[in-house]
Amino acid sequence: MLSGRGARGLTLVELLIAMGIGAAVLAGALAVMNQLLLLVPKAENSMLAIRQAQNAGYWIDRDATSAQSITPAPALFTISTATPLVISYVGWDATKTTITYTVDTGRNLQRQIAVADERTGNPISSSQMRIADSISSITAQYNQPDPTNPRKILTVTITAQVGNCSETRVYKISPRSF
Amino acid sequence: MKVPIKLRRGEPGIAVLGIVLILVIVGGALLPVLLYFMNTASQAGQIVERKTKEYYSANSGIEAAQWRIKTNGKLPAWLDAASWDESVYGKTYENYTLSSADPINDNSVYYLIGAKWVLENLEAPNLTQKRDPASNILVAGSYQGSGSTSGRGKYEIIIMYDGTAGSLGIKRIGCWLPAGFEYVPGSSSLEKVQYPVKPYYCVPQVTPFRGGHTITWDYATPVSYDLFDPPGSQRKITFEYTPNQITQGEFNWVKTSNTTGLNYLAWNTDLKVFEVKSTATSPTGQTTNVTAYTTKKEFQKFGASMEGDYFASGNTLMRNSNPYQDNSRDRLYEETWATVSGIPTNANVEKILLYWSGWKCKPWDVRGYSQAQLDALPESKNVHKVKLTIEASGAPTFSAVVTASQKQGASDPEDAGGAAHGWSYSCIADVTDLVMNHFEGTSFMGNGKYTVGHWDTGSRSSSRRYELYEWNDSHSHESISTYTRYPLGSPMDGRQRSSGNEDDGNEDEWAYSAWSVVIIYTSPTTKGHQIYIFDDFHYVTRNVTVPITISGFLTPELAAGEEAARYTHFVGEGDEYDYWSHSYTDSVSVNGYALSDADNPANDVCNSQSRIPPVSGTLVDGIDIDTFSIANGIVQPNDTEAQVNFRTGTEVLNIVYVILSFRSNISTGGILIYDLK
Repeated sequence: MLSGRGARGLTLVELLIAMGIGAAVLAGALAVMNQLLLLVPKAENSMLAIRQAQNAGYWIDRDATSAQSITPAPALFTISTATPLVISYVGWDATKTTITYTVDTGRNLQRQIAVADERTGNPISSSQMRIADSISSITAQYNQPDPTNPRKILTVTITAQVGNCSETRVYKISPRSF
Repeated sequence: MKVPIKLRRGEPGIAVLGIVLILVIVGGALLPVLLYFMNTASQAGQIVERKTKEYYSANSGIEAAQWRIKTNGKLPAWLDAASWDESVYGKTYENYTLSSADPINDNSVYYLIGAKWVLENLEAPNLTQKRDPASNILVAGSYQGSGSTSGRGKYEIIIMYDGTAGSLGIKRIGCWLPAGFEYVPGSSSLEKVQYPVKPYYCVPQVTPFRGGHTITWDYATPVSYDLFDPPGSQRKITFEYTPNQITQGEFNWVKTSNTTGLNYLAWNTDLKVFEVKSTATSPTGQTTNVTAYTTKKEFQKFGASMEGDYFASGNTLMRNSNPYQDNSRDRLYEETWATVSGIPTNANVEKILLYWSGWKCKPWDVRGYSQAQLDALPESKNVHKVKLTIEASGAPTFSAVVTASQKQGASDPEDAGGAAHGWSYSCIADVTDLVMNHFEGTSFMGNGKYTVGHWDTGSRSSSRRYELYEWNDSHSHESISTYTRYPLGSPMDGRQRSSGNEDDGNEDEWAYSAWSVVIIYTSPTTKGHQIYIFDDFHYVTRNVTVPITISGFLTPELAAGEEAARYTHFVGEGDEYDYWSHSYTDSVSVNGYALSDADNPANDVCNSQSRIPPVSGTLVDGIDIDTFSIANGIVQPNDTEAQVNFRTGTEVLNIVYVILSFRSNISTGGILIYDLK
């Protein structure tokens, strides 16, 4: 519609319809925006939670595969600073590697690796790194699930939570050493 | 219609357009952030996935190596050797590429396999022995069942020394238990409080090693091997550990005072430790390395034992032609045959031993003969030679007159205090070189038709010739085929004798003549057998028990239900059970268990009934060449002796040989150390 001399105004009905359409379009646009703003963080949180759980699982898996000793066992326990998951193995060169997993108060999964002389116990090297954060819980159990099979299995259940998104992964690891 | 050229303020609908523009701007601002985040997350996921793939790819190299180690014939000869020595430990590792045409998880994988000395980082070898196995000392050990209390296992270490290197001082006895097993302090037999205190009394040191523990009994002043218990052919040390489970990969060793000699260190040479290094390389060049140490239990040779497996067969040269009269072997044959089959096509023939034996009546009275005089009889009577013919598929026939390298004569011990009964003999010829030289370049590996008979045949002078029959398997219409001057046995009566006195008649149940061929072979599919042959000729009289102790071997670990050993004997002059008088005739036992089968009852196992070839062949009358399977339990793992008892009742036996073949259950004990980098 072009304005100009002689132009007619809108009727009330036309105005109401236009307002109704405008309100509907605005509501839809706001809803889309709202979804967009909410979904991005949710997807991000979900992705972060998956990655944290995966990362924790990857490291525990590879360490436990080499394990000659895993403590505590065999009851189910929650990994924490007070009750760490301790994995150790000795190489052919008589170096003992002890890996300690803890979850600190900041919900970070810490992996401390200490290498020492097996016989004397003298430390050779030590380091610590954060494997994952946003860990809400990690439980572990190292037992012999099948009474007819002496093979022991380490079952680790990792739950990572970022915002309202949580991801749980279960790893069953059979150490390769005797 | 005119087209608007610009938007005008207040124009209806402009608000909607504004909102759309705002949304586009906000969305445009969010989109790069979202894409960046997605990209980061995707990369992180890819890294985890790649590393996981590499890890599993490298692990597949370890699996492939384990399979190769476990499967016979998949390793090069230097790694597959029966025992490793210094030359093996110094070799470059064998390199294998895994699936180059079809990469594992898109990664290329190769692995190396090499040999590790089991005592590495534990003991230092001396310059003379280096890391070669001790030749005079054997060390073994095994789980012995539950310990003195619940939850404990009992372990036994065996040390055997043959005494050939003089007095032996023990400086250290050691045992390594893998991770998860703990020594029970005070449980060893060397530290039990005894009065008077034994010279070997020692409290062991327990030290962490390779994830497990070493238990070592150290003697500042070496203690003589002779002073350890128990007296006899071996010394035993026991101790207990927790938990009560069978250990895997454990080993034992002994350090002696012979610091400059060949027997300074002795260890379980049956335990081999392989180092496996596996590397997975991704398409982008990143690598993941896994190093693993895996063990394999092989086979431990000791003393007179041989490695391989055997096939024994043979036939009689004399049989009873009258089906209504037992034990009257009256017909002597020119030659008889037996088929040897079942030796694997990939076998290597290690030995072909030919045995023949018989009873002779001339001279009749050998009472008072010395052993040397008895041993001279086979040659003086020209029974120390036989004609051997071997027909093998795809190869020219072998035929030769074979002369015995070992000849033994014997007489019935009862004769000394009673009547004369002639004499018996046993001859042995090692024809390995003779036969294998003939078959060189062919596929002959022992299988074929073996025919053995009299070496001296023909018309001969009528004044000294003895009739020989032509053998046929059905024994119908058998006729005299030729004559000999030197019969390999004396049949029951004079019907075959035209003249002379080599066959003098009525001692019917003494008469026998037979032969046997024993082929010892090795092959990738039968590797892991240990054979002991007792072929000292024995003439066993009536109503006695003749113990034969077979020693100098080491029974390997056996799986449940597995055949522990195979037993074959070649016994002459066994008679059939007397059903009328029900008299006891004979029995043979191994470690107290009487041997028997459908053809050979337990109370008359030597009944001159043999299956030719063994077990499944035709039943032949005239000789006992019997093979029995010995179940696990009759012979136990780590047994070093077997007691074979021949017990006679109403008859006399001539034992030519006894063979025991022990199965070795080659197995891998899993991964000892697994290290992922």
